[in-house]
Amino acid sequence: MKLFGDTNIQFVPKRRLFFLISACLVAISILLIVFKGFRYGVDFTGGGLVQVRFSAPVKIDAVRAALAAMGEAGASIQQTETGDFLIRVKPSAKSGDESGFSSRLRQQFAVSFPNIPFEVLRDEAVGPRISKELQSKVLIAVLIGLIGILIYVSFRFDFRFGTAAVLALIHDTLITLGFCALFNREITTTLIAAILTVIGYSVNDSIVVSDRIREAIKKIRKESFPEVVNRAINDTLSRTIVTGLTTLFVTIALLVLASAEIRDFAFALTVGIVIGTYSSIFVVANLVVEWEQKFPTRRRR
Amino acid sequence: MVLVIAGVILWPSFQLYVLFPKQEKALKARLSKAATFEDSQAVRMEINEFNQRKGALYEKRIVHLGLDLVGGMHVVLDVDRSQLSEEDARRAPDLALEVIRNRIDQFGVFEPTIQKTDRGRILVQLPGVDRERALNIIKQPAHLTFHLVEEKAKVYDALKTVDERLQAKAGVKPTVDSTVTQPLDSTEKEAAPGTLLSFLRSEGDELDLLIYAKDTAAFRTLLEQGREFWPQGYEFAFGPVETVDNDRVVRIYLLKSEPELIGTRLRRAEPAIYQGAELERANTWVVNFELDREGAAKFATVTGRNVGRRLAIVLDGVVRSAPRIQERIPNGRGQITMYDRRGDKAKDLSIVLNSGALPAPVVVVEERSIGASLGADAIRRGLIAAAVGALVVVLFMLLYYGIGGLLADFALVVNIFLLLAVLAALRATLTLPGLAGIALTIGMAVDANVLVFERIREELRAGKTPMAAVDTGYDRALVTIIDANATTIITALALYFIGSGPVRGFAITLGVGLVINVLTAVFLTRFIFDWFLAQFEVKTLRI
Repeated sequence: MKLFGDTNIQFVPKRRLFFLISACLVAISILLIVFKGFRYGVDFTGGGLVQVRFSAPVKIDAVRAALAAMGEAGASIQQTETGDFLIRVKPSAKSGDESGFSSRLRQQFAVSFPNIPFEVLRDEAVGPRISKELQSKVLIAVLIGLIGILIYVSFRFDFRFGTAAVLALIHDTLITLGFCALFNREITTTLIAAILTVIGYSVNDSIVVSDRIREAIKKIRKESFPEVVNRAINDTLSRTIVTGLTTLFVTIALLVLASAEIRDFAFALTVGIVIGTYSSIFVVANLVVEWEQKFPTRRRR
Repeated sequence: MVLVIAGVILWPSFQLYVLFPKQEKALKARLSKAATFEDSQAVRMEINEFNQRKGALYEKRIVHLGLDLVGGMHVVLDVDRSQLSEEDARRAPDLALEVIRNRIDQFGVFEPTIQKTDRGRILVQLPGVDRERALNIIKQPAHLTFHLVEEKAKVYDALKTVDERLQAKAGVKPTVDSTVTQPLDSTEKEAAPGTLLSFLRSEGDELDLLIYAKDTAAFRTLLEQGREFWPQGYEFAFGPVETVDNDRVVRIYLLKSEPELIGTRLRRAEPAIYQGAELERANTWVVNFELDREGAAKFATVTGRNVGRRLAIVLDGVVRSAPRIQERIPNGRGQITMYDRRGDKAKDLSIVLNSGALPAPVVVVEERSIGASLGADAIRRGLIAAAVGALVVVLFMLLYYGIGGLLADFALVVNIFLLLAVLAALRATLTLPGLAGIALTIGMAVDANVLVFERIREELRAGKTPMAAVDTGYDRALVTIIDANATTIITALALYFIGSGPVRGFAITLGVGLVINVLTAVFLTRFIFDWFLAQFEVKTLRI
């Protein structure tokens, strides 16, 4: 079976159009991130999160009343599709002991709902100092990832490809984050893991195309640089789409079937892989072409 | 060969997660069906043996399931060093680590992780434990002191004095005429609201004044406000919450501030069933303790000098019990009574006492606890998602590349098998994101083969023989495959660096998955391809 035979789609001549689309997407994403903002998880804000499941249906107002009774009227309550309650509070500035909220909550619920047994499914509590440390750690990890990739790609190809790949990565990351902001996905360490994976995937994709371009430059000398690039993109198109599809099958299965804890993660992966596939076809090579036309190099390897 | 080794490595994990749950079920069924006592004893023996074998398996190289999959708690503790000298503060984390390790060992948890992390913090990971009990055990400072107790009437008088002084200070005329002695235990509710006396449960009991447990906070606050009016050299203290006549109450004690005996390290503490004469304590658990020689000598002196008085056993500021000294106790043995019918509290208190005191209070700065049922739910849904994803990928590859797809699918299965074996060999922990990592590897695993097959297709189109096409296809694709995977491995390393439990699990599965992936895709499938082409002398290849 074949989805694509010998294609000859004009990716390179239309590159300005794709740049425009990408620029719009990035701009919208930045606006979304700045003005709508993220819903940060406990990891980054500090504070506590408790997920409670009652054995019989309980009204959200009753839960709110119970929280008010223990002096936590400011807690945010959210009900999941399975009927669990997610209760969030800010970090305890006073005691510095983060396990206190959940313990008090258990006692209060036992008093407020004496006839309804409940189970605490999940407790998360992160002190303010830890959350700050985690923020900087994540930043460092993302930077190390990006720098590592830049060095590797520049070393294996040349600086132009490296820069183009990293620009595409920033493009992919921003748009993925924009989608997360738009769909109100919670930013947790797990989601950051997804973003880094998208980075890895996307650069993987870009490299396959770049690799083809490098090979084609060596072989065909009579074609112009843009033509060579266009052919390389077409030659790898089938592989790019097939791999994108197989990966998407899995992330979509995770998104639909896996438990709620994985869903934000799967969402970011799904969006990221679509964007990553798009950018490796339409953006990376075209950036190199643009660069080549502005600053032509003599030494074509 | 490699597959056999992988199989051997994975066998314990298979036993633990697939065979054992089945055997466990069967044993439990037999236990419920056992007709006679002898039968059920025999089955119990078998269950014991079975549990031992299971415990032994945990020690082996198996695929460990993370806390987010089996349930359990992950806490990061900080030792509060603000009250310590510089010298002590430096040693405190190590001491605390030792104490906590001792306690957890006695608590009996499979595979606890207890280690020091940066900035002198302590990381404790306990799979499948009850959060509240575990926190109690970990955080209890365990400062045991013994204080002489004042009699009930004196406590009442002291409270009254504090009330009067407080009101005088606030400029309110004392509502209770201090010249008339109030009869104890009268059903007085004349005490003005907002006074300490108004909180008292009117009857009290023979020994102590009681207040309702729900009033404790308000009562304490008021009492603290009048701290300057407390009798010289005495302290108020409270007992734990207990049930008297169906009411939840707390005892109030007036103790001599100066303890009679302190910091004496116990030699031994153990839970036991109460054997004494008090009816309401029948069938409850107590903790028997024994002091070391020096402690026993002091204890003998104190008890000898104070026969007939009550001596409070105070743990971390809470009066555990206050028995009346009947006679001099020479052997350093004593008993802490509990209000515990199940024995958990007595057992936990013994653990805490036996393992010694923490050098300083510990506070939880980070906690993640996952309930067992959420863990089970996560595994089930994660596995279903991974299986469905994998199935779609497998079918797609078959459909798209025919015989080549079959090869890629075979490589994929080998891949997952090897990945699990490597995880077991590394003693890595499989977490929920790790499970997602495996699923993702499945999606990306076929990439290397896709690259190869696309190349072979091109070469075939260019008119090469199958043999030559396969050869060139693999050679050409190899560089690309390595370049492409190297960058993803770089990100896996960066992820490992963020490294909070689950994410690290994801990084490991992703990284290991990719390496295995390259190997199987490049060598295994090529080997089979070559063998296949040579064996059947294929003239035309359709992939």
